[in-house]
Parts: sequence; structure tokens; C-alpha cells
Amino acid sequence: MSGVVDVSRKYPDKLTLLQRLYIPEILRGMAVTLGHLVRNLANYKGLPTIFYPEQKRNYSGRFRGKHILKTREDGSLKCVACYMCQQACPAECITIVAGEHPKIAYEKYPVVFDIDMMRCVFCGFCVDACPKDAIWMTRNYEMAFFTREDAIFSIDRLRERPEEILQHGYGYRPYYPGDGTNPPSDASRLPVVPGGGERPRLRSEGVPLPDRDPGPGPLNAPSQAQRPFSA
Amino acid sequence: MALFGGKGSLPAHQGPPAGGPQGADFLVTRLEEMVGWARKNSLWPFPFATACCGIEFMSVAAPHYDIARFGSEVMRFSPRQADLLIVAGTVTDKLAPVLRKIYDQMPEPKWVVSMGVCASSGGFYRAYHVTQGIDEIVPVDVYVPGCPPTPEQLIHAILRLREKITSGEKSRDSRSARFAAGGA
Amino acid sequence: MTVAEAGILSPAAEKLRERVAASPAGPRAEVLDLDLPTVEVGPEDWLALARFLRDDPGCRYELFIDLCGVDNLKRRGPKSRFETVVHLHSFVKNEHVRVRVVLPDTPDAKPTLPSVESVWPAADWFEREAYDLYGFQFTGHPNLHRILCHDAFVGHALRKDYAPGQRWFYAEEDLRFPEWAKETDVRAGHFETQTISIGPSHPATHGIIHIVARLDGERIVRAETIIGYLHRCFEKMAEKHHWNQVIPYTDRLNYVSSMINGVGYVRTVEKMLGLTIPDRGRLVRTILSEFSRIMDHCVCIGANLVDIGALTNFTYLYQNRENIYSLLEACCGARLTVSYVRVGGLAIDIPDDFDARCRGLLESIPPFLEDVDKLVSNNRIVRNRFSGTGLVSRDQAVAWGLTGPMLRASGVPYDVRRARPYDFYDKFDWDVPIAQDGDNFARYLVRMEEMRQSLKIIRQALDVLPKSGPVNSDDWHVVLPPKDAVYHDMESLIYHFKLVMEGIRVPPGERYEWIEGGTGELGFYAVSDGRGGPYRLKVRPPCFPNMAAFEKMIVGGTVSDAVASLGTLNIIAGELDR
Repeated sequence: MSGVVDVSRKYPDKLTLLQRLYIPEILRGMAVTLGHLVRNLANYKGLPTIFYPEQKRNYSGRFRGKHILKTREDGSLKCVACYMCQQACPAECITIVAGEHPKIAYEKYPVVFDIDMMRCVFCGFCVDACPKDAIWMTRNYEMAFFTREDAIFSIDRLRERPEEILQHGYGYRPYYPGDGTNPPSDASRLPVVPGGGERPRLRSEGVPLPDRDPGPGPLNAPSQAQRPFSA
Repeated sequence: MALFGGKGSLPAHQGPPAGGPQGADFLVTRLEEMVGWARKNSLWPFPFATACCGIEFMSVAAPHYDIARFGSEVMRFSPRQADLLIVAGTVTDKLAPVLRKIYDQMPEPKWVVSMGVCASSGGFYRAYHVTQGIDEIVPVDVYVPGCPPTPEQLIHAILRLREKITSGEKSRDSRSARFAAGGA
Repeated sequence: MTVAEAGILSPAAEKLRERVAASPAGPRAEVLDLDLPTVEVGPEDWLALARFLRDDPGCRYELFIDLCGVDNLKRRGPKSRFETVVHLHSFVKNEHVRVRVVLPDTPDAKPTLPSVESVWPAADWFEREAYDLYGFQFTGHPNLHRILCHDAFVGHALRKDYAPGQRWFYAEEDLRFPEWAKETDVRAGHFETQTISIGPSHPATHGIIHIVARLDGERIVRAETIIGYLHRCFEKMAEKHHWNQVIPYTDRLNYVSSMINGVGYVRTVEKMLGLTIPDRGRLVRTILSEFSRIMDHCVCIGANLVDIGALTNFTYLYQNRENIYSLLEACCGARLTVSYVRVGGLAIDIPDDFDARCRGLLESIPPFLEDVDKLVSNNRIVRNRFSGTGLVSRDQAVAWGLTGPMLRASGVPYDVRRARPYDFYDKFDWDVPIAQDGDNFARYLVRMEEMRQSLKIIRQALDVLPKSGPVNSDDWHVVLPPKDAVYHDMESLIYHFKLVMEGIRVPPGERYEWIEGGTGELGFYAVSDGRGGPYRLKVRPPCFPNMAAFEKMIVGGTVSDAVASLGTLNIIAGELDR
């Protein structure tokens, strides 16, 4: 039958005498495993193991990690408490309480903005749903808690902080610098090893991480490709 | 403790657990430091892997991240021989008695890591058959968020657990202490 | 007057109407032409019609695909509250058919219909599930007990009047052991057989499966599987959410190849909407689905070999997974549960170096496969453990409703990608691997070859993938508009707001769409009532009939053969229990 390949007889049913003796097969198998061992010893830098926490993996600029609430130039949150992220979240982990903003132009602001990290599935729907560029995700995954109450992040822990971004970097975000239709994932900065497959590069190897150094000026400068909003 | 090198760093806002060296109502002696060092460097996990987090746990055991670097060379599938119960994945009401039995069968000292949001709180399954967090059944030492947590996230949690082990605190003490103090 | 109202049917439905008219149920059955030819009968005719559909030479619907219930309490239009929807497949005609058994309303809301387990043994577990979740009484069923929910559960969970969060307390004593397990059985006058439980917490039961086995020495004389330890109520959760919000739940069905579930689900919704996706989006879906299939087989083979003691292969095959994780993470931000698809296309466009990354993977995956091959395929121990164990003949495979590598290793060349091509599979040059023996070694060979065929498909797809272009449909009634439009343009903001707040408005109707998952035919049956989310969503899990066959496969073999066979089934508990 065309388009169908029968693999039943790919290997003969009956093993040859050498194969049944088993010792030659052991040696052939050990050649494979010892080959890996020797190659790894000779090329220690090429080991696939990532020695966390001394080495950290370069996740892409689209990594869905801990959320941050973006701020405007004056330091207030961009969030206008429209409840779209709360509605979009499949896990119902976002709790928002809206309050009246003193400036008429902004109307509302979140008095309470809690994300329960113990419910969040890190799907990124909140980032997709936000119409105000107010919630992004970072490459920060280093969260572990001793109690469940500790896992409810409120505004003070979610607000964007320069030191956190310097340490971890931006991740999944709705608005990308440059071409708005094809978001880059920074992956082009990672060298691809031909023949050996792509191996995630390690920070210890001196690969510069994009967006890590915000450059001259504050984080919220227009050079970060934020256009002013009409509101 | 600095003698044996502490790996990993704590974020600024979360210190070591209360009841540890600085908030202590008990003394950590040299002998207990040695015992803590031995225990934390030879954690043998019992991978109670139920769902997707189980696959990420297998990634942690695979050569890319290699939990054997931290002393967890062997996965012990018998609770009698394990001291770290890693609950990876959703626990349903049907599985809950099994989990409790496994926990009871483990000898002291034992620690529990709740890996993933399903094990910690039920995750986004607010449903008729899902246990909303294994702390309904067993006392948990470390909760790891993520769905599934990346292997680094799990290793980070195990490093924090190691600090807890060194401090000698057990999760039951902190829970009962909080209850006694009138907290949640 | 529409075509449907005029009573003009498509050729397939017309042929079906002719055959059904000749069946015992003829006068009382009604044939409709929906997305699939559909026969509507009452419960009194169902068993006779079932036998006819299986045996009549003009029908030959031998492969049992799915059986599910639907509760029409909150929906206008259907004739009665409960209905049972059955899907069947005919190899000879290469088509699916749907049968809707309309259950008349009873005062105590306990609808009754005959069991078709005598016609298709595969229906056994599907009917148990319908009993568990809806309360249908299947007369003549050999073992009508709860299968997914625990045994202290009260009520029927998928009924529309059951609150989604209502839990029941369950203790260990409540577990229902099979009746035969409690009897003593003395053989040869003085040897008593022993009944043990393999699992639910066992290194070899991937996910949590509980096998109650009666042993005569080392041989299994009878077995029954208890599942449901990971029943996470996917279908109830789907009814609570919007169409797009179900996508993270679908990721966690077959979590080792999560992209494929998402693709299957959104295809169903897109077909209900009549939406066309740009070629680039479809090609990306195909490429990533094939990589996910490779990941699935790597885990299956790796875990299977670990169970029989060959530990090194796990490390080699997991390296393949890690490399593919790098690709998936660069595309969408998550390694395992990708949530990359959306109804109408993908969540975001692929990165610029997608092609380079994929080609790097095409170079790096084959050496690991060859290493595993060298270690395993001619190894005497592996041959002794795998060859001749877990035998499934061709007739058994079809009767038990198996699909995927399990069916293909027994000699039936049924692959959805070839039988009903979607997303360009018919444009590429690739082969469907089959084997004739039906034992564990045959399944191992089929999966290894499937990985190589997947690499072939990916290479061809990469050659035709356009360098740029949209990946999403441009219908803003379905797809979120681009962010810079949302920030500046009023109409886009309105579309965005309506989609997020209310969900996608899918016209009322039903649809069954199926694709080839890593373990077999993965189908989604969706019913919409016009709201923003599914009214009913049934997953046809390929693992479900595979697992049901397991307890029949292992009888007569030893416990160690059972462990080897369980690995080749590729049971993913997230899909099995949903």
C-alpha cells in the first residue's frame, strides 16, 4: 500500500548467534554510552547540564513568569481597573477593587490588585486582555513560599521595579518595540549551534541579555517605545 | 552554615522562616547544624507525580537540570525509604486517601513539597473532584507556584527547603504556632 | 427554504438514509445531514440499529469512537432533556457517523437505554462514564459502576443542575473493589490465588492507574483497572469558561504533547464558525504538532524502557524533549503547557529565528534516536521482554476501539492524518508506519518510525513555510485585534472588549472534529448554544479505550509482562481521566 511502511521486519525476528550471546551486544551498547561519556568529558563546556543556581538558563523574551504592573512617568500604575484581566483569567486568580482616581483623565485606579500565585497558571491571558499596556510578565520564576498567604501578591510586590527587571528581564508582553505585528523573542541573539542542536546559552558565558540594561534614562522613557495615550 | 556554602539567594522581601536562627525560641547547636547539613544534602525524593508537573519533575531528574547534583540521586518509590515527598500534579478527592497513606508511611524526618499550583491550591480546577490544595490532607513545607513550575523553579524551592531543614523547623510547628497565635 | 429544510441530503447522508431505511429501526429512525451524517433513534431501536450498523455490508461501522451524554436542560430546541451521542467509524467507507439516541424524559430523571457493549466491546467504559456523569441506566451492561468520580460521590456531575464546585468527602474505605476480587479462588485443590493491587502509587503506572489483579503465582488470571484518580472535571470547567479560556485546560489533557490538544480543540471551534486560517498559521500548527508528537513518543519509549530497567535511554530521549522545549519556549513563553493556539490562529507570531531553530532540531534529534536504537533494538533482554508480550490481534484491536500506534501495530493502517487530511498533511510525502505482530516490540518499532516520519513532515513543512505573513484570521469577531490598534482605535477596542468580556459568539449547533493525537484519534465534540463558551464539550480521549483494553490484554501473562505492556499503551492520565 502506498504511503504505508511496514516496520515489522525491520529487525530480524530471530537474533543472530552473536546477539544471543549477549556479550558482544553489551560491548556495542557500552560503546554508545562510553562514547557519550568520553565526549562529555572532553567537552565539559558542551555539557547539557545547567548548573542552577550558579548558571541560569536564558529564557526568551516571551517567557511567562511573574507579572508586573507597569507604571507611568509619575510612578502611578497604568492600570485603570477595567477588570478585563480579571474576566479573562481562566483561573480567576486576579482580584481588583477599583477606586476613583483624582485625575479625571484616568477615572479609575486599582485600590486593590491581588494575584494569587497559587491559582495562577501563567497562561498570559491577562497580558493579552489588557487594553492599557498595564500588566506584563517577566522572566522571574524564583518564587517559592512557605505559606499560602505569602503567595497572594498585591500591588507592592507586583509593581515594576528596576532592580527586578535588571535581574530577570522582561518576558511576555503585549507591545513589542519595533514591528508591532511580529514580536521578537530575543532568540535571534542566541547563537544556534549547527549540528549540535540549539542549546540554551548560559549567562556565565557572557551572552548579553536584551532588555536587561534599560540604557540611558529612566525605564519609562519614550525610548522604551511607549507611545503616549490619548487618555 | 557559611562553612558549607549556601547556594541560591533569597529575594529581599522574604526572609528565612520564623523559628529559624534569628527568630528562634530554640537554640541551633553545632550538632544540629551537622545533622541539618547531612539531611539537606541527601534528600531522597518520593515523586508523587500525578500530572503535568510530574513531567517537569522528570525533567529535573533528567541530565539537563539533574537533581542528583543536590544529593537526590535516587528516586525512592517506596515511602519507607524516602524523606522528601514531592507532590507533583493535581490531587483529586479519589487520590487523597492514597496521598495521606503514603505520607503516613514515611518515617520521620520528612518534608513535603507541593509542586505546582494544582497541588498547592487546586489551581484553576475549582471543581467537584479536585482537592483544593494538599494542605487539606498533609502539612506542606514549601509551595511552588507555576503551571508547571520550570525545573529551575523547583530547584529554587528545594534550595529554600534546605534552608528550612537547616533551621530545624518543621512545618507542623509553624502552622500550629500560627493557629495558637490566632492567625489563619 | 434551506437545503436542510428541503430534505436534500448530501450523498453520504443519502446513502446512509437508504441503509438505515433497510434496517430494523428503519421507519422510526431519522437521518439528518449535520457536520456528519446523523441518525436519530429512540432507545428501543438502538440495539438493533447498532448491530445493523456494524454488520451490514453497506455500513460496516466497526470502530467505536465515542459515546457521550448531553443534558439539554438549559438549551432550547432539542426534543428531550437527555440524549446520548455516539460516533462510529467505518474503515471500508472511511467515514464517521453520528447516532443520537434521544432519551425520553422520565419523571425521576433516570433515562434508560440498552448497552451496546455486546456489539462493540469498546463501549463498555464509555457507557460507564455516561452513567457516572449523567446517570444513564444502560441495561445489559456487565459492570455498570462509577468510573471517573470516586465511589462516595453523590449525584451526576455533568448534569446542568449540578454545581461545579460541589465536592464529597471520600475515605479509603469507600473504594469499591470488584466483586470477584473479594472471592477466594482455590486452584488445583490447594493453591489459592492472591488478589493484589498494582498501583495507584507505583513507579510503573504512569500517572495513577490502579490495577486489581488476581494472581496464580506470577500469572495474572483476571484483572480490572480502576481509573479516575486524575479526574479533573475538564468538561465541567469547559462549560464554565469562554471558548478561548478552555485552551489552557486542553493543554493539560495530553500534557506530554500539549500543542496537539489545542490544535484539535480550536479546529472544532473554527469549523463551527466557518473560519479560514491563513496557511502560515496552519503550517506552524502542523510543525509544532509534529514536534509535540516526537516529544510524546520520546516520553513513551523512555518511560517504557525505564520500567523494564533500561535507564540510559530515558536520559537520551529526554534531551530531545529539552531541545524541543527551547523551541516552544521561544515561540510562546512556556515549555510544557504552551497555550499557544487561539481560536482563529495562534496567540502571537513565531519568532524570527523559528526556521533556524527548527532546522537545528532536525539535526539534533536523529542522533539520539539512533543511540536508543543501537542500545535497544537488538538487545536480547528487550526482545525477551517485548516480543510476544501484550499481544493484540487485528480483530481484537478493532473491537476494543483502539486507535493510534496501538492499532497500527496490529496491522490496521488507520491514521487520521492520512484518512481525513487536515493542515496540509496530504501535501507532504510521508508514510504511515504499521506492524503486523501486535506485540510490545511492534509498538516500539511503530513509534520509533513515527518519530522519523514526523521529522520528514517537518522538513517539508519548513521548506514551504512563508517567511512572513499573518498567522491569524483577520476576523475581529473572533480574533483579538493587534495591540497597537487596540490602544489607538475605537472600533478595535470595542471588538477587543466584547471578545474578552463575552467570549466568541459561536452560532448554535454541534460539531465533532478529530485529529491524530500522540496516542490515537483525539476528537472534540462541541455543542454551542450561542453564548460565549461551550454548552457541552466532550473530549474523545485516545487513551480511554486503550486503557480499557489493557485489562484484557494482560490476562494470561505475568506481572512483569503487564508492566512492559502498560508502558507501550502510552497512558497519559490527564487525557484518560480528563
